[in-house]
Amino acid sequence: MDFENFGAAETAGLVLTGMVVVFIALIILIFLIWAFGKIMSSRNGSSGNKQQSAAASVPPAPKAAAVPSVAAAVSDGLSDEVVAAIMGAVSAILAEEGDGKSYVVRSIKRVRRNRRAWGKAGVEENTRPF
Amino acid sequence: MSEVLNIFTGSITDLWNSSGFMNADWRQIAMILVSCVLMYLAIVKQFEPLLLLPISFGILLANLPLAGLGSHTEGGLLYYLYQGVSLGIYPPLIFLGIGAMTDFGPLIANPKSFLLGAAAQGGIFFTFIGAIVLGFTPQEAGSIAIIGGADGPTAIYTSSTLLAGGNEAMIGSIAVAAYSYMALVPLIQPPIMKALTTKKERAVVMEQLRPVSRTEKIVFPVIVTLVVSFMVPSAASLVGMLMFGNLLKESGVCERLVKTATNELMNIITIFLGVTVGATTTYDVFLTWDTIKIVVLGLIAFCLGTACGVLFGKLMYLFSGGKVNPLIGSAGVSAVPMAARVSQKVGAETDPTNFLLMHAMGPNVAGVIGSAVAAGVLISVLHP
Repeated sequence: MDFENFGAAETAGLVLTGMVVVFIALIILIFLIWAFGKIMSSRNGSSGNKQQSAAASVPPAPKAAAVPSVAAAVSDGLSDEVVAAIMGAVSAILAEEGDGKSYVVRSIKRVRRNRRAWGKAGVEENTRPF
Repeated sequence: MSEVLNIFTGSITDLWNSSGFMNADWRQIAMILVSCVLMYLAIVKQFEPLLLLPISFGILLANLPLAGLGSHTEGGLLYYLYQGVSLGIYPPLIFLGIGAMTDFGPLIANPKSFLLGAAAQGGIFFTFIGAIVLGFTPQEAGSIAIIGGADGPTAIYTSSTLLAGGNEAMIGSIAVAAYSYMALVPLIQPPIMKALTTKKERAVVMEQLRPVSRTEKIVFPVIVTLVVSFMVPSAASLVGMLMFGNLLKESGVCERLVKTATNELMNIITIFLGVTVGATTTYDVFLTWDTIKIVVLGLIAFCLGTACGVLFGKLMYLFSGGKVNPLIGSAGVSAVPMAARVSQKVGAETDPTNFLLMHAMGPNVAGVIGSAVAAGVLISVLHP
């Protein structure tokens, strides 16, 4: 390109080239990423279907069925980690007590603590060898 | 005794005459004051302090009378460190760290965001016209226009490549303008975004993004590197390093390298880059009309980029039947993650329950790729 006589035509040409190349490059990327996403989801979908059919042949587990509905009900406003931790604790207690018993939450009480959690962890850490 | 006194007064006079007080140009004092203002903005107002503070202190160092610490003064410490800028080494290394910190998940989940990242580059090319009209050479115009990419490393890389052997002194002004405007994104963008959108458009709640698998995240950097580098080879060093950093992160098997790329390496390069770019602004080259033109054109580039993104967002709003919130378009200018936060903030002003941040991150990271491609086009067309 003749940089000495860089006139209106050259400027317009560069602006057009620039915008077209940027758009084409990114549109190619859109297509490739979209296509790859489709391939991935179709692969996952087929393996997901297999899992579902496998699950159907196994006798249904009542507890497992109950858990997602509870999770869905309480997850509003809580992070996934908190829901997972609560569900983990509930499941642990249910597993200890055995299947077939039903529970109702009647009240929630604040646990009285003598020490804060970090303090407790520190004491445990220091007294572990003894 | 009198001889000792004579020697003493003579030495003191010599020292005084060779001191900065006797040799300071008023323009050096003005530049030192400018650096103090920038330091104030960095420390007190916390405008991009990680970069603005090294840059502002670089300005101070470069304008010390007789110290010879400017980046273009051969032989000084900063001259040697500056070779990393003029040889195009630092910006790609910064991109390595940025890649290792960036989550491209929102972009992979909604690849259409790429369009917004492309549209917002309009600011670069429209400003190019303005710079040519104001009498800059094509190389200078390209270097100034890239400020609209709202991406510091890209701006420095492009300007140092295009201006090599030419008006290299301009690189400092361009970098200072680019970083200043990036810091001012929360002030510059909202009025443009509000002026170009209706309340109904701003209130659009977008569908939740799909989860992205690990395989997709790993394949993404490879695809982007191949496509962009094959199309625009001059963008390869920026995009290649950005995607290399991202692959290190997403692979999950190079934690130590990711840690180095995002912490130690990035911090070292940031210090070198900031202080040496600041030190290019010696008074004789910075206090000129050109700097003022660069600052004005840079602002125009930024505003046009934001406007192009929002207008394209409106187009997507129309074609999607009202599913796309046009506010995420402004995030296409890059300036990660500040521009995405601005989209979230302006959206939340209309509807406080609307959570646009993740949707805006898509165009935001697409903007980084878009600016690198635009830089590649400018370099390949304009490189003398």
